[in-house]
Amino acid sequence: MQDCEIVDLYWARSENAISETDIKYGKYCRKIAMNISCSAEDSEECVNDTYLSAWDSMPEERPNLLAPFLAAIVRNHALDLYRRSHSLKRGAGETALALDELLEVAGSSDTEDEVDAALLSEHINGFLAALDKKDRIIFVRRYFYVDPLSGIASALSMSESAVKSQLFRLRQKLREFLEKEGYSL
Amino acid sequence: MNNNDILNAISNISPEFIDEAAFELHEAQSSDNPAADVRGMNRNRRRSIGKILYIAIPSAAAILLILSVALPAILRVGKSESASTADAPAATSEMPSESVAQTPSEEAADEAAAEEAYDAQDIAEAEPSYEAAAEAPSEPEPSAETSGAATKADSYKNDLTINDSDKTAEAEEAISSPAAVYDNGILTIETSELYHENFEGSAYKIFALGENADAEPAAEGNISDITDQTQITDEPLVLDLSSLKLEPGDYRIEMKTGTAEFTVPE
Repeated sequence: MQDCEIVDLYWARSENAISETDIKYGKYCRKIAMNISCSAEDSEECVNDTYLSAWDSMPEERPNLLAPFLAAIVRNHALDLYRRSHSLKRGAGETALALDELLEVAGSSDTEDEVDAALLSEHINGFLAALDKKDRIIFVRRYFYVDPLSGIASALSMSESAVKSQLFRLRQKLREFLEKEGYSL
Repeated sequence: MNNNDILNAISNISPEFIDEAAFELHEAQSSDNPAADVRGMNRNRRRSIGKILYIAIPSAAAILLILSVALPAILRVGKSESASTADAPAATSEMPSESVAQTPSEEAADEAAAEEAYDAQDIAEAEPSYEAAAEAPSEPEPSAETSGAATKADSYKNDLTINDSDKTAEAEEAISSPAAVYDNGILTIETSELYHENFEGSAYKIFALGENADAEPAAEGNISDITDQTQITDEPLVLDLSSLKLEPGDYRIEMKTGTAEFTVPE
């Protein structure tokens, strides 16, 4: 079933919308949830919450691409779940590692400056748009999907060390980019 | 700003970027996902390198093989040609060509064939060298020097093969049937087709042809008994056969200078 047909089901308030979503994107959503939560039970809970969120938001929104729409929802749910059960700085698993890596970009200061999340997202989008495709995929796979290094290396036919090195360079670039945009890091 | 802000901001990145990197995570969109190109590029690069190697290695091997086999052969042919055109026999003896590698008997045969070719040419041009032609096959000289001569003769023979073979055939045909007229015991033979040489003291034989043909000659003797001439000249050879009292019929007279057929009328 095409994405637009599934969206139509949501808009028609058909219960088949969720089952069709699960058929097509259930595995995808579980993978993202599992990357972040590292728990089958938690990831299943995240996926169910995702379908519910999609059900609630759909009449107002009409996403052209259903996959990234669901991915963003499941990621947020997984991160919330992760935050509830782990310390952000002293966690375990890929999420903790990814967060530690992003700490290089954000800095170690605990400043509580008001950050415009929408503006920051826009800047990060600009940063990603300026990257070449391969670098962009590496960045998104690591910091959006929270994929392990081995998974990225395997998917892109690279060595883990090459992926790690590339991520380091990308973080440095992002830091410089954000500093240029006026962020205090 | 802290890492939590960045993490949240990344949650709101463009759906295109999310989808672009989503290959393999959801197979439904992986086929038309441009991210697959990244893996494809790596695969294609490896394939193209493989293709280049697949073509380049056999090609290089073929070129090396050609160079190692054909080049020496070409050089050898070039040397053989230069050796065959050179006059010095020593030069040809140094070259491992086929002409030098011949056995003595082959060389003698070649030499004789070359001399025959020369003789045939000489016959056509009037200088008689019949004896030399006859003696040539019996006196081969298988030496290193003759190999050079043989090579030279080969080249001459090759040049003259067509013309000389025709000329030799024509000469033999002409010699075997010169115009001869028998009239009242006098046989007149046109000498233009006979070997022009001294036949003094040589013998003759007359054989009957046709119905009276016999292995034994009908008459024989010294040619000086039937003519006063001692040498073939431009003048017709006149033989007086009246004393032989030949029966009417066809005959062939064989002499040193050639043969002629004539008819004794009734």
